[in-house]
Amino acid sequence: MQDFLSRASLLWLLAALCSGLLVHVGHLPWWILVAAVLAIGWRLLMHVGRLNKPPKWIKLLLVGGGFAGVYLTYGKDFSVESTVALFALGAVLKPLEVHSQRDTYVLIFMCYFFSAVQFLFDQNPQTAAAVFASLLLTMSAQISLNLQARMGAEAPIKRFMPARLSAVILLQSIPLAILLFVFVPRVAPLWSLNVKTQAGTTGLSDRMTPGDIAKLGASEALAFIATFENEVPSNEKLYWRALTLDQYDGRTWSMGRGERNVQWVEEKRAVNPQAVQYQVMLEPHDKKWLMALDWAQPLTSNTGLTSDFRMVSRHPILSKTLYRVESDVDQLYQYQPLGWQAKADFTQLPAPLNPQTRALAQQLQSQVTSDEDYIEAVSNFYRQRPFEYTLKPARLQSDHRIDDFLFESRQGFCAHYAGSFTYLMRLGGIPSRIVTGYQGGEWNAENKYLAVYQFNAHAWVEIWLSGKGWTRIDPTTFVAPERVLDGVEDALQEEFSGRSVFSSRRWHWLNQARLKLEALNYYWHRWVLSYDQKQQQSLVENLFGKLSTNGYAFMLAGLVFGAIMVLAMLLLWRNRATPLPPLQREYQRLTHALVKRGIHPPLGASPNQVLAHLADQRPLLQQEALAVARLFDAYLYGAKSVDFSEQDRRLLKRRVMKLIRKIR
Amino acid sequence: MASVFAALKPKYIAWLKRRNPLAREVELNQKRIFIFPTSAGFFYAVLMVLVFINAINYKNNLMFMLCFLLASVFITAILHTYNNVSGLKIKAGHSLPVFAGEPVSLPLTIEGGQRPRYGISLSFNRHSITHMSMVPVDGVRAQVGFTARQRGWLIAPRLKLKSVYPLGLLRTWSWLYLDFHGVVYPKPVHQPFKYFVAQESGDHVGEVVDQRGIDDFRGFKDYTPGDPLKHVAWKQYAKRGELLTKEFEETHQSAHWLDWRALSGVETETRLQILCGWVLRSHEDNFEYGLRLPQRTIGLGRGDHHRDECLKALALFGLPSFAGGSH
Repeated sequence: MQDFLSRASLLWLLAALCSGLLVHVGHLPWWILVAAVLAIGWRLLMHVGRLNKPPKWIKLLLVGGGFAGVYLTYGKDFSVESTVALFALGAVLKPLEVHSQRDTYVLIFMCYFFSAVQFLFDQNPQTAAAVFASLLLTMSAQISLNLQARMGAEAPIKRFMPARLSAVILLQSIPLAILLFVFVPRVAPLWSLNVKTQAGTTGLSDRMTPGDIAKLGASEALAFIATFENEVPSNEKLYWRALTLDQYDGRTWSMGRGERNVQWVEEKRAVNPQAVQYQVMLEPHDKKWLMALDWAQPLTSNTGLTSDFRMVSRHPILSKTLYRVESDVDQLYQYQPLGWQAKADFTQLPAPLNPQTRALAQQLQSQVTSDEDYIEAVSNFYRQRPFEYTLKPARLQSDHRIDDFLFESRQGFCAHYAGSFTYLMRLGGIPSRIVTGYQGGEWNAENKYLAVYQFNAHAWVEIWLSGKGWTRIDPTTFVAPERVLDGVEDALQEEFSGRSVFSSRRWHWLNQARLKLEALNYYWHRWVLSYDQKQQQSLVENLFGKLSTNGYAFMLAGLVFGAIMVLAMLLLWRNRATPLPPLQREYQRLTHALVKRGIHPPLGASPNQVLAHLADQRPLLQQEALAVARLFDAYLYGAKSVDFSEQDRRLLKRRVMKLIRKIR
Repeated sequence: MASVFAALKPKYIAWLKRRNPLAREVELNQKRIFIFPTSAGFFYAVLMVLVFINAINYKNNLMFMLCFLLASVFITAILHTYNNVSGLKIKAGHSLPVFAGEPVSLPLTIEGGQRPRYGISLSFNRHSITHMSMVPVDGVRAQVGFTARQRGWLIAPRLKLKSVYPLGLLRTWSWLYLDFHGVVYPKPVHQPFKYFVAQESGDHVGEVVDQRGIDDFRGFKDYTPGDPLKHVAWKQYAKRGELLTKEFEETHQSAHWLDWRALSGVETETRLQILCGWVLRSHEDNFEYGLRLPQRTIGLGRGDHHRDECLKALALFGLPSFAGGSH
């Protein structure tokens, strides 16, 4: 049986399908890809006549198997991944039953939709480029399908003509698309959707167990990007606060009372002239907490400040989110009165563990008279003992792990220092808690922003001093001051570079490329992805002033109409009639005028004959007609025929027009 | 509803005819070009709405962008669709003569001017569609099938030019009324010959003489160009390699006349059909014959040219001398 599709159309179609699958390859189960290879192979063999189309029972088996596979892979819970997998399955099996133009359109539209769905997973510029390429191939398939002559016959056109044409169409469509993107009013979601993706996100955790392996330090993933309005604070002031951990069970520090009462803010301008103002573009982490420098005041609606001065979002951060903050980084204390209950909570410790540490605390306390002196004494303990700052400390798994750390291993990173320091503070009766977040960041000089990665994650301590309030102390600096002065990369250069040969940070040019790509990503998110109703409103107001609904509709219609007209003009320009040479134009003008006035010179007559005919019909005009005839003659055959100038053209035109006016 | 359409149809056709008068050559311009989405185009719109709803619900800016890009592509496609057919010149060729009721392929030329055109189909009706994947810059010849119904000047019905280039989302079409300068002969009806004999006592219709079977084979002569191919002795040619023509004894030494008056009392069209059958028969049998019609007489003769002249006279009997009478 001859295939309905021509070879070219089939190949374009399968290429479009493959590109759609490739775009999604990161989250499709492997067996769908295997099914795709088999289905495409079968379809190709069908085309060359080696295989028949699959019988009905095989199709049913495939569909049933596919559903079972999706169920086994994802379980029965609805998620974006499982839906996409089902959709992919449909697209993969569809080529086996494409028997008509209509079926082919169904497959092509499936490919379009499939490309669009990829944006639910991520919206990087790279993804956008991949989806664009997939669109291009799909459209090529669509064009090729339209050009194929009859049942399966090959059209006599150049092989890549469909791709060229679809590129032309897409490029011509982009300006209008951008216009629509910018100006079509955005509406609120029609129904609430909070479908989480199943992809794991790396980031901070609301629990901390010093002694387990170092997890955070390992990830090079971007946490967020901050853009400062003015000067960037120096590195030792860049403490990005995210969470406070105040409950300790002997192993794990965790958040005590969950979300405290939150003061939500409305969109507002910066108020504190001493504060630094900045915007944070946060990568999605599925949680509600936000990062901000000490001590922060949120400026964006739907964000707020908790009673422990953390910034939080009203909704989980499921996609890249932009928010504005102002922070007074030079303010050392944050005043807050503590009741006796709160004091008890912040000095809470589990059952008597770590006897050595307790003994140490008692000993130090007997030597001092004030809280400040006790703190100083504890700090000196860290400074004077041979502690080592490392991301690969020995594991501590006994019940007395703080003893083990302070008196035996003395190897650790921020979590160990913050944990043991808080423990010692609480033993001394000083209210204290662990704060986790990020410290420092990578300054991108070219694009003027600070990029903070997961390996910048850090933990430090806040203690409460009567009369002053909460104060930040970073015990890691007692041991490794360079961690905070120069950043974690410099502090741990050896461990960092030894981590992976493939780490882009090892190679200068790769590092440059990485920074460029990151900058592209940042601007993409800043200007494309976070464009929303608010930005649209302010842009339209800036451009057109305040508009009523009708005004807006007119504005939009006008812009769209204008864009279409420009495009139409550009496109149809090729279609215009080529202008005639000047002599012919005048000849045509003359004959048209004569015909209009009821004088019909013989067809194909020379200008001379036409004018002679006119002289015959209108004897009164004989003189003028003959004069114009002589002019034509001179330009056609005389010396002037060689260098016919613009001046000559105008003279001839004037004379012809004059003559025409006189004809009655 | 259907009756409303039925009532409006003649008006619509009249309007079309006023817009597109009969011509030898037509150039497509915006007056003649219609564009409307195809069913795939409506399906595409549904796709856009789906993407749009997803974009709204997930607040996904790139989905918005994709949706707007799809919408812009649709609009760009309108311009491409229009551009592809605008400026096309369709020139009617000369149709070969045809007998009423027989299919005929009407020749025409399509020229695109400075650029190639793609995916154009032409049809008089949905049963016979001529599809061209590409019309090259220097034009292309095509044939469009059609069945002639009525003898006379060939009046082709409106020709539909259609294209869904480039994406199949939009259909552009145009109705063309082209003059192919063709002639439709009457449908031949085969009846025994009848002769008209003029007598003093009054007109008299002569005997029915069936000529079949009484031709006598006389011998061969050398082939001269113009001899009917039917009489070429192919067997001899195959054997000996020389072209010979078979000669027949002409029993009717005197030529015969095919006369309108021999069929008095028969309805005009049927008369013409019978005369047509006689002309064909006489030609086949290589008679010398003439044709007498009320206002026209074609003298005795034989051969293809003579036959065509007689058939044309029958075809145009009672009609103005050129097809463009309605100009």
